[in-house]
Amino acid sequence: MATSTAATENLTESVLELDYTPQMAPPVTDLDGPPKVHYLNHSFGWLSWLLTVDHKRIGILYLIPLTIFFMCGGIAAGLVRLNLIQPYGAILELDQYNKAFTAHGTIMLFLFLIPVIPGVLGNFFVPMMIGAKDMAFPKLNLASWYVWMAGAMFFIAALLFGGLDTGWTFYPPYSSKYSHTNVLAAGLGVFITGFSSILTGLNIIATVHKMRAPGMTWGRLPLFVWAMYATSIIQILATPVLAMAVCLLATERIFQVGIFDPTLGGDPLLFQHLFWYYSHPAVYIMILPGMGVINEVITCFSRKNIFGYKAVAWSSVGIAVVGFLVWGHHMFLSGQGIYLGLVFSVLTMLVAIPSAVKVFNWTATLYGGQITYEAPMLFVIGFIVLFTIGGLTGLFLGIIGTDIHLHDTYFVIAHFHFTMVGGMMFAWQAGLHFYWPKMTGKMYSDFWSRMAAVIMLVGFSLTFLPQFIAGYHGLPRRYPYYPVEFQMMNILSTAGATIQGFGYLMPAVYLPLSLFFGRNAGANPWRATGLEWQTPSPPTPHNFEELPIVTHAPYEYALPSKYNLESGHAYEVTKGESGGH
Amino acid sequence: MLLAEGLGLPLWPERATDFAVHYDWLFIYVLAVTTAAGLLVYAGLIYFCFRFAKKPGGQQQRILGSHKLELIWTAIPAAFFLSFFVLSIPLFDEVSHPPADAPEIFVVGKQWMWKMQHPNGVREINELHLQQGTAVKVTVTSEDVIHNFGIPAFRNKIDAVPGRYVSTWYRPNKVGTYHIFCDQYCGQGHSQMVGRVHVMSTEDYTAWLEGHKTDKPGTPGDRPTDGTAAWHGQQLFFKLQCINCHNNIYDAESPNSSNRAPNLEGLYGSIVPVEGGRSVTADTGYLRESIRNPMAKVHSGWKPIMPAYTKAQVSEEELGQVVAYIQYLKQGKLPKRTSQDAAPVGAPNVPDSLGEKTAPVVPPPDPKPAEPKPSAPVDSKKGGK
Repeated sequence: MATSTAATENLTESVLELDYTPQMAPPVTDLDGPPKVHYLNHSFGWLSWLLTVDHKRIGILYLIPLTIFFMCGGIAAGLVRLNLIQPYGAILELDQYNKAFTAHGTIMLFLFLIPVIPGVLGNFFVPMMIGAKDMAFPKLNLASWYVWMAGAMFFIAALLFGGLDTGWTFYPPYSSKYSHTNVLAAGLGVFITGFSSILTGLNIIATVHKMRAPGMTWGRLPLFVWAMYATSIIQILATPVLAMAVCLLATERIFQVGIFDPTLGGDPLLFQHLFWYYSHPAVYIMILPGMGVINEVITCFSRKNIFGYKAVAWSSVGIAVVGFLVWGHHMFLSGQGIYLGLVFSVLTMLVAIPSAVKVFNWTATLYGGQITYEAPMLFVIGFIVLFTIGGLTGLFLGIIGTDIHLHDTYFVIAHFHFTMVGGMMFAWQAGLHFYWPKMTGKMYSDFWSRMAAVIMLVGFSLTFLPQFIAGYHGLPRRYPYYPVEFQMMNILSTAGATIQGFGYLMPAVYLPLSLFFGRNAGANPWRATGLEWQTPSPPTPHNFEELPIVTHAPYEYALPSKYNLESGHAYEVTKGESGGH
Repeated sequence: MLLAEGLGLPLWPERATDFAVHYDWLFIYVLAVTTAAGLLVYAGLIYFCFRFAKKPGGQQQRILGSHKLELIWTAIPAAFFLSFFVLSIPLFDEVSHPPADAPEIFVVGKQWMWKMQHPNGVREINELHLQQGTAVKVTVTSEDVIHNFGIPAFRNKIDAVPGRYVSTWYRPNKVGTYHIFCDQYCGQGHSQMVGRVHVMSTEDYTAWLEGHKTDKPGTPGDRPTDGTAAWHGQQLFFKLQCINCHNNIYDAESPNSSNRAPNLEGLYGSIVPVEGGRSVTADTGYLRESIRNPMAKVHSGWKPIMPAYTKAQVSEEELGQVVAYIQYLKQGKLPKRTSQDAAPVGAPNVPDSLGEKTAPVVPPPDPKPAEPKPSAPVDSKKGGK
């Protein structure tokens, strides 16, 4: 603390004329419209999009299919929930139900949660945040989009024409021998999208290492970049193992080579080891970028430095590293051995610590702030509320003793959705709402976006809180039929899911509408400090007209700067002038 | 949980074993700590959100962090997390180690039903009758895909992995009927792979057993009681011609003597030296593996000549019976064949064979494929032990 106070005094003297990057042209003001030439209008036509190597356009290329996939996964979830309002199935046959929940799980995980933030916000903002004109390998970036689209299309086709009923976990021998659905095609889809994941990770690591603007030291990297960096490490190291597991599965299914099937001399646990060696780190691939977004948003709307920059940055790396060592906690009951189980359990306790540290740091960041509650901030608060529950209930499953009873029940479902939807989905919404004005140059409806945040929070809680109770009472997951005493819990869940569904539809309406009716956002509607906000909205094709030079750590909201001398957000200032509805 | 009561579920799920009570204590401890931690975060969040909401002319503070606070909120959660782990060790230890004298119930999962076999030979499907206050060891395996044998009221759950035996145990202490669920997704009928466990008082249980008895008296001493799993195993032991090599006849001249393969008497639980210099404990998993895949661990000093028995030849259920029989085979228990026993095909020194068949001899004959089921119908087993 003592050193930081000294630093403050030093800085305040020089700060008055300081903008974040003093050598840039005077920042555009909020009342300016979009620049004449920006990345959206500097060229036209399908080809200009499909052959673009601009990281910003590639980000948009990810955004559109990702939204469609999210809706597909959401429809599958809707079918599942609707079916469960009656103990013997309301609308679906047994195998239809199995295909529906598998479609929900696989689409949401492989085609939405894993690529969404790296694909959209990572592509769009990592180069801008570090002051670069593009990714280190722009063509590779486009290639990785094509690979991903090819894999995704393959996967969707496999689901549409025949379906898949193995659950997202693909456990053999069910998947290798007994399932009559499109395991091979779906596996190939996952295999292909995996390459995209690896290439994107590679690109981001190279970009962060090589493309940082002068003065952008590792200690000055925005925490979103740190999170993306940690994510990329996991993507590169873990995804090949999934590819191997899928290949072995295919080998067994096609050529009857005994790898996992015990009747052929294989070992079914081997697949679980390989699968979770990827898939446990993969949940960190999903959540870490979300955590990164939270740092950007919470500092901006509380007008504060992040509390404990180093702790937050290193906890991302800590999660990435220790996350590789805990896969066996998915297999406590599979007969993997008592001592192995104990080791995985204690390592799981370790990996919980950095997540806890992050939550404490975010909460502490609010202390002494000047907090406003626009939609992105509401999503962040929703994130903290839900992720706290998600993280703490994860302990019950990581503790080897308490997992015995909770394993494979609705308790697991509820925990996982609290982290992945309550955590990741809320972080994604926060990021999308935070960066939408930068990406499009338009401001969306303030009222409806805040309503959406509240409705999602209410709907989500109503959906998944009852599932903890049902899970503790023993209701197993993936049950189309269930004992009648669980019916009320399921009806509550379905009611909540309906509310949630409306919540997700709202941004799908008001965000596109803002493109046509929204007012101009201006360069920096949130008065944020990051380099990405020092460019006009939408950004010009090469992001920065001059090479930015960084002189500060990120999030110096408390230092007097040009922006902070004005009162409040530009958005509030100009709110009355033109309605964003 | 109060909410639950109004909505069709009991206030707290039933607890029908001591383990369930121990489990719930750990659960309550973790629940209390995590609830407190969650409320602490929420309290901070709510307080800060109101206290530091933007005010006109307000000025935020510049706070970069605090090493002291970081240390505190790393160390305290770490201490609690480790306490969870440490407290859960005895619990996991308890569930993993059945009492040594507990009778073993053999459970086989298959798409989509549970087949149970009591040590006294009574067999059930999707129903499991247990005696109040009596510990039973439960060994689970699967015919096809991975299942999971879970009983929420016992707070117990165990994967049924094909090709493996995994064991747990219960000592139910509360009379009642409870759910059995398959918890591991296993295909179309996953949610119908459910059953009931009936915990009965001693009188009821005895009465229930009576209903499964026949008049046939068991033969004490040198052979398993009629109708038990081991008894079925013995039939198979002859039928599959195991006894041709695994016997206690030491005759260098005879091809069908124990000179070819180890005598299995007293094998169970002993330490077996295997090729490659290691040694293994002859537990059920080892026995099972040595039948399905004899080359995996070859008893050192013996030629690797035993044929593998695939599932087409011996089903999981039958394999469990053979294993039960090998467990039963204490020193000197290997039978002298009498007319009571199924005739061993091509067995050595056949004193009073029931006129059965010509003798296929060396090398150890291939077992007859499939259909090795003992003839006795399910409901006429001899019960009681």
